[in-house]
Amino acid sequence: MLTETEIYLRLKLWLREHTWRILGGEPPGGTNDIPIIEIKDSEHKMKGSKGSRKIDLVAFKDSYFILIEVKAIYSYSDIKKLNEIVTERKWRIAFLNALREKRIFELHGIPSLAETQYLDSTSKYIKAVSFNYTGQLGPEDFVTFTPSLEGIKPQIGARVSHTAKELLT
Amino acid sequence: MQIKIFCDDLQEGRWFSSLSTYLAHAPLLTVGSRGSNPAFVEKLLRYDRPDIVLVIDNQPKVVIEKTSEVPTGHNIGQRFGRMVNAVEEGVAVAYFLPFKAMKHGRYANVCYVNARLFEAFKKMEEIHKVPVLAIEWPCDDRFELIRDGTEDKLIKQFTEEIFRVNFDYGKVPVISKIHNSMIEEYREQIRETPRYLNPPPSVRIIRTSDFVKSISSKVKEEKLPEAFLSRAETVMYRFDMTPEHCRREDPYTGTQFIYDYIWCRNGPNPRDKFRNLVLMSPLISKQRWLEANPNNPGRKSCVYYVTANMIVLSDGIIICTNSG
Repeated sequence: MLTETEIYLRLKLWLREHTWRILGGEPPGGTNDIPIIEIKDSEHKMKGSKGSRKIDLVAFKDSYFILIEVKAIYSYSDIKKLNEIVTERKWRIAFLNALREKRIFELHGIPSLAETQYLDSTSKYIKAVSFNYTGQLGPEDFVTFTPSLEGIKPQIGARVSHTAKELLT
Repeated sequence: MQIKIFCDDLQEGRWFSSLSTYLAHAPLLTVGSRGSNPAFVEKLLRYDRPDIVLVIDNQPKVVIEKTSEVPTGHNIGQRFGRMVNAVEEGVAVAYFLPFKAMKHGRYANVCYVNARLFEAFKKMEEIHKVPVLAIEWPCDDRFELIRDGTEDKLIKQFTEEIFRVNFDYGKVPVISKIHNSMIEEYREQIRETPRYLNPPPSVRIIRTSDFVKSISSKVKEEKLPEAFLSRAETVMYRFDMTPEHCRREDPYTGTQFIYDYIWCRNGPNPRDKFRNLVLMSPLISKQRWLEANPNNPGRKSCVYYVTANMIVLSDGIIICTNSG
């Protein structure tokens, strides 16, 4: 079984090989070469990180964001977290704010986005999880990246959009 | 020459091995739990786990720490234990960190490194005679950390040069450049924040005789050591943990080393002090403290006992025999 860090590193490599731009994330341990994207809860007014969400990997390709959570084994809390961030408008606003604050688009030379399509709809977000395959995959509206010693393979849920599917194959 | 890289986390290990052609084929080995590593690594894990240890022919040569967080406020002490452990073992330290960077969120602001870090590094170098280097992770004109690979330029140069001169640090040209940047940053921070020249509010320096009087009601059967009484002054470092949340080491165990080197130490052994170092945790009883933070080599809490002379609690004291 691969460790979380090993999966994370394989996933980064896969994304780069498939021309996704890795915008940020939070590595399972240590310090990374990509910025941490901390999505702050707009309802939490105090200083500090309380209530904030950090996504393990965020990448961008052809106007689509992919949000990925990585664990050594399947974790329902990851699914719940991504569903919350993508489904709730307040978290989508916070997500875009976090990217803007860190000037992520500028740094990657991504032209200004038509933000309404990311605020008013969930269609431009791909939810994904990655863990060692033990017989279970993520839900049908998720992509599940299953690692092996050779690399990593996306298993695309039946309810993932056709365009998203094309971006991942 | 047999090169090995021991790392706490694989991605930092890979980053380090990418810094020099000398390291490109070196095996990357993960630091295991205490007791499971070769002795030459194990001796660097007494206080904490370093990010990276470069080992040549089974001799640790450099401990590398990498962080994207500016060491300010409480963060400053968090990695200090591992670096102190390294220099105590005669191993050089290179700490790759931002000297300044933007902190985001509702209270967005530029954070600057605490100048005391440089002061403590200077003392550590003087005392242990090995390089203790802070290498800047640079940021752009809007204080965002640079992450396009160019940020590694200086640490790459350092890594290349130490190999070229076979780890004879006196002959590494880039070290003087790094020292200069540390001095410059220290001066700038002192200009901007002169209070860094003095102890922070959590630290007081008082006459030892006054200190002894102040704790008289707490001293039971303990006999204060002669060496302790002979030092004219005592540095009191106070942290107000509560009984419910006192099973905790960070950042206090690391921060005590900073204060120890800046205001107490004059030699390589923790006993070599011209002032006593006392940790004050006045809200915790002795029994609760010992339960939560025992002097157990298997627990990181043992670091509370390695350099401080005494721990003062609400109802008693603990004399730390390690540090004399």
